[in-house]
Amino acid sequence: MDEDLAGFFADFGVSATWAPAGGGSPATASVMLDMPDQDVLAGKQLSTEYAAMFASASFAGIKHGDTLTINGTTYAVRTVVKLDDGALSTAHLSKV
Amino acid sequence: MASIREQILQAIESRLRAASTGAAVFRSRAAALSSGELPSITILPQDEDDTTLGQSITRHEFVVQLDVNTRGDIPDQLADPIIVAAHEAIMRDTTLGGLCSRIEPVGTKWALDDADNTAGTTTPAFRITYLSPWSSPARRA
Repeated sequence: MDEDLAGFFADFGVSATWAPAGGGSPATASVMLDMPDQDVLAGKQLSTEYAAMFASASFAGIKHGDTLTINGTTYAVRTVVKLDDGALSTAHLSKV
Repeated sequence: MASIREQILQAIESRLRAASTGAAVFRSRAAALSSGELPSITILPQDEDDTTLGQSITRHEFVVQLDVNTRGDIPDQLADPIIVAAHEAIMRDTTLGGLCSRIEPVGTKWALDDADNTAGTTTPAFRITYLSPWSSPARRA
């Protein structure tokens, strides 16, 4: 499974650097970045929903308030959710 | 000739556009606002209750809401100075140039949503009382 994930991110991912808010050591791994627009507030506003999917083990402990820098853009982490069996996670982001 | 109701909405729009709110002003906009259009105020007619006075006069109580849309860490805080400026612009003349007999603030609601920076809508509302003859909603009584 880990090898499959590594190949998947190697083929389709982009490099991201995680900086913990508490000042721990940064970590770099590949993520899949999505940015679809979506209605919020019952359709009153549009939001670009930046989301980075990654192998959960790559950024173990990532949480709200941390930052991810992807392609030179820094994003603040809003929430992190595990997907399916937990091997993959998605961080929902705000552009800083 | 436009109804008194429409004239009231136009008068509110005019006052908000002339005020230093720092926000774009829209009327009855249903399309979602992009982040580049924020902060903004959308003027929306909410409802109207009518009462018959005597045999030929209608007393209207027309409620207008302002959707103040903002985006940021504390969107309700960002909306606050906009609401103060809008409120003062509307209440500066409580007859709206003679269109109505009274305007009164009737409350404020808040809504937040998770978004690329928190999305917020703060909604103050105003009750506007005016009279018209049964014969025409476009004439004042």
